[in-house]
Amino acid sequence: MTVRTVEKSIRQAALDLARFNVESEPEILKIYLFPDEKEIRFVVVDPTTLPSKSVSPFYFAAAPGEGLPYKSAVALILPDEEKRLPTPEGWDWSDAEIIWSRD
Amino acid sequence: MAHSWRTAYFKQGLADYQLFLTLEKTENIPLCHRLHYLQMMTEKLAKGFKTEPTAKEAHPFTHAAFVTLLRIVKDRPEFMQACNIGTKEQFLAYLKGLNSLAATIQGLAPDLADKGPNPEYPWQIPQGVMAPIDFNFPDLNLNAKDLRLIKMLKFIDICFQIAQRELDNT
Repeated sequence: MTVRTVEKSIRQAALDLARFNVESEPEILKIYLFPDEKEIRFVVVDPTTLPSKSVSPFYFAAAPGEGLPYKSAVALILPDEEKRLPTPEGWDWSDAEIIWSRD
Repeated sequence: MAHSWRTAYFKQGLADYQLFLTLEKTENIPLCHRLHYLQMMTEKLAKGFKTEPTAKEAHPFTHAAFVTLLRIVKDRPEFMQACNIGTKEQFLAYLKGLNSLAATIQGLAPDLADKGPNPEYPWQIPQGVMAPIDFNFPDLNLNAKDLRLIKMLKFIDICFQIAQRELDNT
């Protein structure tokens, strides 16, 4: 009998990462997920971060051993920068989904 | 040998880090030179993580990426696991104590030092001009081996291990 390993979907992986992100972090207000087939793309709304001129992510390789089967990109913005800052190529605010919210 | 921008930042940062470790083990190396490498290696580490893997051009950075890197990695499970810390509360507590030190290290970059103390170029003081070789950098005295610096250096080592892992897998 063949044992098939079902890899976590990118959306489920994003949900898991978002839950980890907000654990013990009362300052995080919201997490946006920008859709992509191969990369988890987060914009995290954090009123304690520094102002930005654009959405400027940090990029991380996949780490399957740590429950991260997909590569990811994470940026921090202030609340009044939501949907206003220019985004990297291929990221569009109109496609972004709020995957977690403190409200 | 040609690389991607991300790979090149990681490789050069790792090379800077290896030299920093050598300087730390060598007697009588002036503090300014050791701090210079500490600032450069953390800047390249942060720029590496800031660079999209397929980027064809250098990112239009400022020097102010290291502090933001620490804010980001506190939400990264692979960094927490690499630190052998069991809970996120412990991980956050560990990193919380490093934020101001990260800002001090980042601020060593001459462009961010605002014509003040930095490990690379002389600066104006009321009595004349100060050379980094003569300045004792009281907030970053590597000779004192204070606990905060030790924690920071351990964490920087973790970050470079993760960068190296990515290079090994490329």
